[in-house]
Amino acid sequence: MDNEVFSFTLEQKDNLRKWKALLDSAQAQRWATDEKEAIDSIHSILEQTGFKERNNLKPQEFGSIFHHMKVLIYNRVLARNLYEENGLTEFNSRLRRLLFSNDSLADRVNQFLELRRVGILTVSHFLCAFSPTEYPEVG
Amino acid sequence: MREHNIASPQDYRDDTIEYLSDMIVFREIKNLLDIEDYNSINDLLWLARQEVEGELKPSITSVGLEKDLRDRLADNPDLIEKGLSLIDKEYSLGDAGIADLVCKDKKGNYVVVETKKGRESDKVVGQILRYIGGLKKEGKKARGMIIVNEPDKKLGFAIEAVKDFIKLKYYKVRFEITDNYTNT
Repeated sequence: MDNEVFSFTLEQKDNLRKWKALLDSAQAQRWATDEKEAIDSIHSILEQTGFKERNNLKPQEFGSIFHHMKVLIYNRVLARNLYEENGLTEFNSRLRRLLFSNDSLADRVNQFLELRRVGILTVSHFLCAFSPTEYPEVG
Repeated sequence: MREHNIASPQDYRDDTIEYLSDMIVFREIKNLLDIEDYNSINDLLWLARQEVEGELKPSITSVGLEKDLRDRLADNPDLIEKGLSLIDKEYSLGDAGIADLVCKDKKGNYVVVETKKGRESDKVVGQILRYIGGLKKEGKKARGMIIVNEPDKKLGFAIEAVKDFIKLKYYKVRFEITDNYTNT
C-alpha cells in the first residue's frame, strides 16, 4: 500500500466524520483522562530512570510501565516473560532503539519485531504509549 | 512505501511492512478528523463499532466478562481457595502458553487457575494440563483449578480422569443497580 494511492471512500469518510462526535461522550472523555495519566506516568518512569541515555529498566520498572500501558489497550503479551525470554539487557537495548534511535521507523520496528513474543500489536503499543501523537496502535 | 523511505520492501519482515501499511490508514483517519492523538482514534473506532453493532455481541461481552472475572480473582485469590496467594496473572510458560492466573497454596504448591466464561467444553482440560506440564518442567509442584459458570457434561467426564490434581469450580455473577456510582 502506498500513501499516494490510499484513500477512504466518500461513505467511509462520512461515517468517520459522524463517529467523531462519539469522542464527546462521557465514556470517551473518561478514557482520554485515564490514557493521559497513563502516558504521563510512563514518561515519568523513563525520565527518572535515565532510560534514553543508557540506564536499563529493571523488572519492577517494566512491571509499572506494562501496568500503565494496559490502560491504553489490553495486551496479554505485556508480562515479565516478554523481557525474560529475550534477556533483560537485550530487551532494554532494542526498546531504547525503537523509541529513541535516529534510524528510520522501518528499521526500528523491524529490529523490535525480531524479539520473541513481539508482534505488530506490541510494537505499536510501545510506540503509541511513548508518543501517541506520532504512532498509532494497530494490530 | 515511499513515505517510509523503503525502496525494497523485501528487505524487511512481512509484519514490519504490515505495521507501516496500517499506520498509513490510521494517519489518514487522524488527518481527516483532525484528531491530535491516536489513542482517541482507537477509542472512536471502539465506540463506533458498538454503535454500529447495536448491543454488544455475546462474544464481546463474554471476553469482557472473562477478563473481569480473572482480574477480580487475581485481586482476591482467597475467593478461589482459602490461603491462595497470587504469583502473577497472564503467567507466561513459554511454549506451554499463558495461564490466566498462577497462585501458590498454603503449602507452597503452584496452582494454575483457568477462568472461562459461560459454559465451557473439555478443551480447557487440555489447556490447563499444558500449563501444569510447563510448571512441572520447571521443577515446580503444580495442580490446577478450572472456574466456569455452568456445568458441561463433556467437561465433567474429562475432569473425572484428572480430578486428583485438577478441580472444577463454578462462579456466579451478581448484578446490582444503584442510584449512585460506587466502585466496589
